[in-house]
Amino acid sequence: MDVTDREYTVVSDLADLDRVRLADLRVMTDEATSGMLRRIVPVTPGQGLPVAAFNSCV
Amino acid sequence: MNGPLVPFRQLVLKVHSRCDLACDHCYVYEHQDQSWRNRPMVMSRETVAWTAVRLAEHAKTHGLDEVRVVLHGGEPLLAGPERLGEIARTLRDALSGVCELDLRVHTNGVLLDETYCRVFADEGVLVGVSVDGYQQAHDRHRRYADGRGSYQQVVRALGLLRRPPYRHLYAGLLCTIDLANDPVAVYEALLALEPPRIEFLLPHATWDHPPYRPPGGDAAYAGWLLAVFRRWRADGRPVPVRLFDSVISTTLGGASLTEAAGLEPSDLVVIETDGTYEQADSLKTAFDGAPATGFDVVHHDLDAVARHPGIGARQQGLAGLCATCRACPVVISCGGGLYAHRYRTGSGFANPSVYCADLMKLITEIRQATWPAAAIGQPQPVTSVPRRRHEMPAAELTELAAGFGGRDALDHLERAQRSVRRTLMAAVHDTATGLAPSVHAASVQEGWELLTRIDVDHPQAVDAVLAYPYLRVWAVHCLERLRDGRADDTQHAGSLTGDLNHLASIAMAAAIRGGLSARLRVPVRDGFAYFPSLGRFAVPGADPGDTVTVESHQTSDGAFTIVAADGTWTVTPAARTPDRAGPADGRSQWQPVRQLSAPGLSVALEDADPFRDCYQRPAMPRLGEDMIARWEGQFAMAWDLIQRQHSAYAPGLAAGLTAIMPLTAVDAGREVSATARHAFGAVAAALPAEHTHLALLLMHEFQHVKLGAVMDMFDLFDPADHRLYRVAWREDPRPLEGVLQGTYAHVAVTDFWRVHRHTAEGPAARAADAQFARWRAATAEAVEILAGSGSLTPLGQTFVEGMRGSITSWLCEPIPAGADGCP
Repeated sequence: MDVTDREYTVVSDLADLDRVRLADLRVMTDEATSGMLRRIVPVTPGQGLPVAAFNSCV
Repeated sequence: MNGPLVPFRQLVLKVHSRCDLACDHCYVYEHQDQSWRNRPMVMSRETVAWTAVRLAEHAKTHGLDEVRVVLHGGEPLLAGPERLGEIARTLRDALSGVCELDLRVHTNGVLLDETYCRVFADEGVLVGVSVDGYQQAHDRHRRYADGRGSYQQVVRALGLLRRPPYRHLYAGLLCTIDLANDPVAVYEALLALEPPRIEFLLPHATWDHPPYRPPGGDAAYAGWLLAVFRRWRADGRPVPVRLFDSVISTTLGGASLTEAAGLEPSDLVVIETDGTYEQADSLKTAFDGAPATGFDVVHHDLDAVARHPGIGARQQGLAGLCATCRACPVVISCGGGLYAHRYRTGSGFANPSVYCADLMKLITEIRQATWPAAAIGQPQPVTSVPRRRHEMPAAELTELAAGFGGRDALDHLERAQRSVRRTLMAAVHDTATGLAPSVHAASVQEGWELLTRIDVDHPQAVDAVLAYPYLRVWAVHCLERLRDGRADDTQHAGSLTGDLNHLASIAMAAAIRGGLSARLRVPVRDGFAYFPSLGRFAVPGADPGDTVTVESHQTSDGAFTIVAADGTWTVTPAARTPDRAGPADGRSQWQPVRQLSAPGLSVALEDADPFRDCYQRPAMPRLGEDMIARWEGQFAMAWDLIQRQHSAYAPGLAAGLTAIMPLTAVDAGREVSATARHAFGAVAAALPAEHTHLALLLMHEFQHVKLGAVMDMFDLFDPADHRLYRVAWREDPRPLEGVLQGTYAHVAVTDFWRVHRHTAEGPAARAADAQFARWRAATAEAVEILAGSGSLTPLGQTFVEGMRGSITSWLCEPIPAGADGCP
């Protein structure tokens, strides 16, 4: 997100697909639309990954 | 730090302050902080006992269900097996009946033998070991004072730990990176030790004492880690690697898994052998005394430490970072890097990490490599296609932030939703076509081909169907099933196929809406063929998994034909009864979506869509005509009330409210309403007792619709803030998004009662006064909770400021004495 002062417009991260035909959308291989999809349907990590904040080096 | 206290869930207990090795890269002895010199070698029994008391009272106070304690040093095994067993028992006894104890020890492994292993097995202590890879790599730093390497001793210890009696104690390996070591050879050497988990550490460094870099090696540490990452990924991720998993997790919307990367608030505290509390151990690398808090276990409880500014500084997420980091595209995954690595004399910790270039390169490449493989299990190249982005005039966003939002603002939200829906549709198709034939639904491809054909010449017909609120619910439902790996689950395969085949129903609805000729097989679900946004057709004698053939015609009334095993029918969508071309049976099989209409507003009364049941309360079944009449009456009066008395909300509702979904009622006198995050434009409600309440419910719920769409477009807060906050309208503490949603909704609720108290009469007016007083106080308080959370993005701060502007202007409005509950 950024704000363009000149136009007083707030710009979203969402790609505007208004002029993109459905048949031309390749969501899984397109950075903009795959990013949009991540935002809507976040993919959770695999099982067995405990949250840990501790680093050490003995 | 503002906001609620973050309880500690991890405690590092320095049971012995000396070490039997003399590693030259050790931050405890070789870096800036030298406090170990003045500390007792072994933690006393009294200090252990106080630690146990403090931990138990902290767990009780905060209702923690589990705490982790890591026995650490120096070298903790120097304390001896008996003493370590005693410490473990002291901690377990204190926490018995309070919470679970996840007890671990982290060792260099040199002393680990059968005696220690037996003690750890008896006391349930998991064991982590430091190993830097193959022998030459490991012995480069991890040596005795006389220069001998320790690799052979460590490998021997790990052999013991992998034997059946102790294998369950093996927690993982920790490896410090050295660029001189071959990354893949290090990875392979670690893998050969069969660890359940590997953690790679960047060598501790600061801007004052930067890490070694070869000439031209600006991101040499990223290069080293990426060599491991590529191999690890090519191997099929045979073991969790915490740093990589954390980047993947945060990239895909999950939590950070390590304090070395990510925005999770730190919940860790260290207790030294003398009983003093310290901040993160890694701070020893910054400057002498950096981790100190001035508190100790005898005189201070853990809550006092949790309020220490140094601890708070590592709990502020995005707000705690410097401007460079806050503006960085990978900040969600990086979080500014390890706190200690940001240090520079003069500016302190308000800097990017000294490993910034490495983290940027590492995260960027992992992100590119991970999506969409993590979603569908197939690595695919991700390309960057320049695209226009959605935007919104700042004035419209300000209008929305104040709680309102007119037609233009709603149009901008709707346009963004259109892009989201089209992306979701394409994603369902992309993903479904990659499934195994046993799961893959043939109708998906046929439906997609029809839909894309219509989209070429009649995109408005496609968008009209896709705009139906429960289409996005369906798409997300399918993608979540596929994401969660249930695609290959034979137990669910049938229903997944049915879910995916709904795409054919969507395509056919678009053809009918567009008045186009098309022919397609459409699935029968629970005895009905569905045509989203139009209605459903009851198919006589249909079995699960059946399909009917639907043929639409190029007619102005959108008539279409249904061919099933038991007959053929022609349906005119607007009609209540189909024209029967086969054997007559007199039943009414066509159930159209009915509309609630009032001057200036017409919305669908959705009581048939198969994906509408997405709220906490169950959906009402198909309504009878008497209920329809009651809804129509109340809706017309409610809309009239909104237009007359709450005109600032009417344009937004007129532009954005497209469906009302009847919910089952609870008890008489208790109103029920809801909004679903993915059902943009829809509000769900049980029919209230009177139209005034329906007006209030519509205003309340539509706030959630608007805010959900705003959050689809813009980040308003740091998603890594997992703290819970107390608000006046719920007994249970709420996550930040819940507070934001509730506050926004209650801006409208407050406004409703603010106006209504002047138009109601008698007891109703007094009740409205009380409601106004209650909600403005609760909402004003919640606004301040949000503003003080430290987790709002700059745009989020602006948005909350807009809400504050509305509620503040109402705070000075006089209310009758006693209306606020005060005498």
